[in-house]
Amino acid sequence: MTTTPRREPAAPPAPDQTDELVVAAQRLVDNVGTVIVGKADVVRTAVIVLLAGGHLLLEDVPGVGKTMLSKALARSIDGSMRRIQFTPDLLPSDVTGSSVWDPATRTFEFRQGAVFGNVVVGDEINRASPKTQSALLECMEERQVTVDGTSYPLDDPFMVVATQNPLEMEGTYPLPEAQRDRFMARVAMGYPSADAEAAMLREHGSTDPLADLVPVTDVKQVADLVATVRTVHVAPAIEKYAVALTTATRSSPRLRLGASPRATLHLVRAARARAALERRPYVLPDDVSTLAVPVLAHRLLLSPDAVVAGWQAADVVREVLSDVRVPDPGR
Amino acid sequence: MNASVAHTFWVGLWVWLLAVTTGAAFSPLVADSRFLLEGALGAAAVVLVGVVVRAAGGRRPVVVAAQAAVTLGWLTAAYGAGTGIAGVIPTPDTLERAGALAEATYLHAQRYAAPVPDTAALTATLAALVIVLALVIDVLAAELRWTPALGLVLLAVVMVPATLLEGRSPLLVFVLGAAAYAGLLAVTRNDDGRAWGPRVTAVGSQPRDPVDSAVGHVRASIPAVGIAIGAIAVALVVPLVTPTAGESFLDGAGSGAGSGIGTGLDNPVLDMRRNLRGQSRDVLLTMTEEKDAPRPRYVRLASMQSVGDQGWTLGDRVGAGQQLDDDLPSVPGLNPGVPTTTARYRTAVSPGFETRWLPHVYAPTAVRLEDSSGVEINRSMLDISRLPRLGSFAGASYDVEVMVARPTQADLRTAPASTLTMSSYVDLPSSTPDVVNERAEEVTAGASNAFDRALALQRWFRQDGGFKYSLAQRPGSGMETIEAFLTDDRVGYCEQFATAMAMMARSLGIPSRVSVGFLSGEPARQKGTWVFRGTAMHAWPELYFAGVGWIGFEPTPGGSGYTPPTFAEGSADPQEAPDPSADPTALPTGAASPAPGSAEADAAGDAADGGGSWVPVALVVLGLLTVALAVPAAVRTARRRRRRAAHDDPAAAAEDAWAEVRDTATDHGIGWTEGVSPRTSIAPLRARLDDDPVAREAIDTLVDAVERSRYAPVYEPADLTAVVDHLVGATAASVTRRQRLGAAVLPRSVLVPAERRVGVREEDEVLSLRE
Repeated sequence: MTTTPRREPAAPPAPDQTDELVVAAQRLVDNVGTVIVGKADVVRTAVIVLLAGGHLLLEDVPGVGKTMLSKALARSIDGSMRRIQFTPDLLPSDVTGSSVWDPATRTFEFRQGAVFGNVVVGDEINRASPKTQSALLECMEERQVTVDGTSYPLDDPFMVVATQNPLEMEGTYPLPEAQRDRFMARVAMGYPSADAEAAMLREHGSTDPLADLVPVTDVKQVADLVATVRTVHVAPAIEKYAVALTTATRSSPRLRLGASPRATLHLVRAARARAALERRPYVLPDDVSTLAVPVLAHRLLLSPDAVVAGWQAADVVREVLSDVRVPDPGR
Repeated sequence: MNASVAHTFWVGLWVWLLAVTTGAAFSPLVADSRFLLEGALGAAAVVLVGVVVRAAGGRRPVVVAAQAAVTLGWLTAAYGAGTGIAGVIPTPDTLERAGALAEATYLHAQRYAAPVPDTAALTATLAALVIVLALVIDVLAAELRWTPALGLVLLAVVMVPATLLEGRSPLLVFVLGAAAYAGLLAVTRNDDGRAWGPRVTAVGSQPRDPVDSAVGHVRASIPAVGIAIGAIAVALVVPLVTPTAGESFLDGAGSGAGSGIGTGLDNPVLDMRRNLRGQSRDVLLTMTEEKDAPRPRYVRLASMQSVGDQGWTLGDRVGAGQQLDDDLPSVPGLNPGVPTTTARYRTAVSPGFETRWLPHVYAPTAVRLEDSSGVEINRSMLDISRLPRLGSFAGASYDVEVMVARPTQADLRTAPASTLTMSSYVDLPSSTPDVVNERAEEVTAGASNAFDRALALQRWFRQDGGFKYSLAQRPGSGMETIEAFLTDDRVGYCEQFATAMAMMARSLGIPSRVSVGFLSGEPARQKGTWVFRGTAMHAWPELYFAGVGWIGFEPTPGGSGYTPPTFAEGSADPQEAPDPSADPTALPTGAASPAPGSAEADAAGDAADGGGSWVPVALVVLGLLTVALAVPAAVRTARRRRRRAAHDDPAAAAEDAWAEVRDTATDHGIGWTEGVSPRTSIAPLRARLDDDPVAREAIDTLVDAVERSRYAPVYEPADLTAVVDHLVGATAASVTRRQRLGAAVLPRSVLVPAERRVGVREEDEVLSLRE
C-alpha cells in the first residue's frame, strides 16, 4: 500500500477536529429540524452536501417544504443568504450581476447579482429559461462570475440550494443533464408523516418559523469544516469501489447515460463528509453505498425500455449497488 | 483444500453414488448382487480419474478421453478374459467376447423371470452397465453440466428394472437413487443455473413490469417442460422395447393365478404353463421356515402318475385317497434305516391362487390346516387335495411338517428293482415313440444300476445332449411333442424336460412320476420367509428307489437356479452329504453337480440368501461415506487452528478473526453476504445476536477492527481472540441442536465455495441501502 506514492492532501483529521465538526453539524441539523419536522434524513444529507462543498438539488411537488429547508439551512449559517425566485422572464444578468454606467466616475461599475452570497437559494430553478439556468450553473462550477471580461470571485463557502418541481408539472424547463451533473446530490423531500404534519400545523399555524431561527454557526467555521472533510482518508479500495459503481452505471443496459467522472468525485467527497460526521477519519464502503442514490440518481438517463418498464433512476442505482462487489482490501 | 478441487471432489463423489444407486436398481432382478460391487469399483476408478485430471487442470477433451480410456481398460481387464493387449487394450477378440457376453445375457434374461439366476455373463454385463453409467453421468454432469437433462438418461435406465419388476422395485433403492441425484443436482446447481433458468437476483433488479417477468418465467420454464415431456415419452417407450417386459398387456394373456377354477383345480400343469408363459409375477405362496429349516425348494402341488397319448396326467385316483387327519400315511418306500431330517414350514396361500392342491415340501408327515373338511391325502402320492365342490385352498394358512430323506449313495445304488406294487409307475402307452427308449439306452449305456442310469439321464439333459431352454416351445407332453423334443429341436421348458426324463426312466424300468409345483422362492423382506411367484412354477421328474422312496431329479438345464434336486438334500452344503468320500457327482445334490454354472449359481444363491454379497458393498460405501464425512470437519478444524496461530501482520490477524466469525456464521446457516461492506456482511449475525449485549459489543469491536485494518490510514492492532471466542460461542448457542450438529459435521464454509453461496440476504442488503 505504501509502495505507490499517493498525494495525501493532509494528515487525516484529528479526533478533536471531527468532534468539533460533529457538534457543529448536529447543531445545524437540530436547528433546521425545528423548522422541517420529521425529515432528519433529508436535513442530514443537506448538511453532508454543505460540508462536502457541493450544491444541493431539492426536488419534489410544491408545498412540502423545499424552500423552507433551503432557507432554514441558509439562515442557520451566519453568512450572507441570497434567494433567487426563478421565473420565465428572469434574465442571466439578474443572477450574475451586470456593469452599469456610473455617471459620477464616468466608468462602468459592476453591480453584483443575486448569486453573490454564501448560501444561494435558487427557488423553482426549472421555471427559468435555460439561458438563465445556465448562468447560475456556470457560477456553481467556476465559483466566479465573469462579466465584460472581468472575473469576480464568489464568496467562500458557496453553496447553491436549488429547488425544483418534478418535470411533469406545468410551465417548467427541465434542467439539461449536463447541468444536473453540477449538483452533488439530489434529495426528495417527500410528504411528512401524519404526526409530523399535525405538529407542523400546531407550531407553524400562526407564526413564521423562519423568523425565530438564529444562526448556529458562521462562515468561518463552515469553511474550516469543509477543509477538515477534505482530509478524511480514502483507502484505495474505496476509490476502486466508487469507480466501479460509476463505471457500472455506464454499462448498464437500462441507462442511456451513466454517471460522469465528476459524479465519482462528488460521491467520494460526499462519502468523506459522511465519514467525518460519524467521527471516522476514514471512509467506509457503507458511506459510499449509502450516498450512491442521492449522489448518482439525478445524473442518470434511463433507456426507453427501462422507462417503459417503469424503472426509476434510483432503482438502477440500487441494482448497481447489489451487483458491484466491494473490492477486497488488497492485501 | 482449494475450493475448486473440493468442488470437483464433491461432484465426483455424487456421480459415483448416483451410478452405484442407479445400478442397485438392477439388483432385485438378479439372484446375486455381486455385479454391484464390481461395478462400484470400476465406477470409482472412472470417477477418480476424472477428479484427478480435472484437479490437475485438464481440459474437457482430456478429461473425457482419460475417463473413456479407463472405462475401456477396466472392462477389458475385468471381463475381456485376457483378449486385450497387455490385458487392457481392447482387440477385435475383445469385441467378440463382449458381443458373446451381451448375447448370453440377453438369452439368459429372456429365459428367466426375475430374480434371474446369476451367471458370469450377467454379472459382467450389469457391472459394465454401472461403470459406463458412471462415465455417462460424469460427462453429462461434470463436463457438459447437463445435470437436469441427466434425469432423462437415468429414468430410461431405471425404467428397465422397474418395468421388469412391474413396479415392485424396492423403495429404498429408488429413494437412495433419488437422493444421490438430488445431491448431484445440488453440487452442480450453480454450474448450470444460467443454462436452465433465470439467475436469482436481488429484489432491486426485479423487473417492475409483470409482462417482462412473465416472459422471463416462460422462457425459463421451456427446458423444464421439455424435460417433463421427454421423461413421459421415455417412460412410455422403454417398456415396449424391453425384452420380456410388458408381455402381459401386449399379448393380452391374463396372468392372474388360478383364475380358472376348473383348470386350476384339476390340472396344476395348466396353471404352471400359464404362469410361466405369462411370466406372472404374482405372489402365489408365502412360506416361513421354522426350526431352522432349510430354504424351501421344490414345493410340490401334485404329482402326475399316468402317461397317455396326450401326455402326462394325474391319472385315476378314485379310492386312492383318505381324509386328512392327524394320522398321515407313511412315506412310501422309505425304510426306517435311511437317515432323515425333519423341518416345519408355515405356509400361506395367496387369496388369488385358487389351487385345489395343497403346496408342500415332500414328504409331509403332519399337516395342520384349520378347515380340513373334504381334504384328502393320496396314499401313494402323498399329494393333498380338496374336493372340487368344496373350493380351493386360496387364502389358507397352514403348518406342514416334512421329513426329508437323506439316503447315502449306497442306499440308492443298492436299491432293488422296483417291486410289483410299483408296476403302474413304469407303464408307457403303446404310442410312445421309439426314440424314448433308444435314447435312454444310449445315454445310460455305461451305468450298472438304476441310480447311475438316472444320473446319466439327468446329465444328458442338462449338459451333454445340447438341450436349450425356451418358453417359446409348444406346451404339453404329448407323444409328438416329446418325440420332436428328443430328436430335432431339443428346445423346451421344464415340462418337456421333466416328462421326457420320466418317460425315459420308465422305459428303463425305473418307476417315475412328474411333480408340479414351485422351484424356489425369493427371500422376502422378513428373514426366513420366502415368496413364490408364478414365474417360479416348475415341473420335475421323481424316480422311485425301493427303500428310499421318491427322489427328485432336475433335467432342466440353463446354468441356472435349476440345480438338480433330491429329497435327500437337506441343505445345499455338500459337507453334510452323507458320504463325502464317495464320488461327489454320484449324489444328485446341487452343489456337487457337474451342471455348468450350477456350482457358481448355488454359491451365488447361498450368498444372496444370507445377504452376504451386500456386506462388502455396504462396507465400502460406509467407509467412503465416513471418510467423506470426516474430510470437511477436518478441513474446518485445520483452518480454525491456522487462524488462531500468532500473526506478524496485525491486519492479517484482523482478517483471520473476521474469517473465523464469517465461517462460523456460515456453518450455522446464518446468512452472510460476500462482496459487501463488513457491517452489511455481519448484519444477519448481529440481528441474530441482538439480545446479547456482550455479543453486540463484540461485533462492534470486530467490525471496527476490520474496518480500520482495511480502510483507515493507520491500524492499531487489537486483540480479537476473546471477541472471536465469544461470537463463536454465541452463534452456536443461537441455533438449534440440529444446526449445531450440521455445522460440526458438514460445515458449509468448507463444502460450499464462497462464490457459490447463495446470497440469501441480498434482499436485506438492498433494503439496508435504501435507509
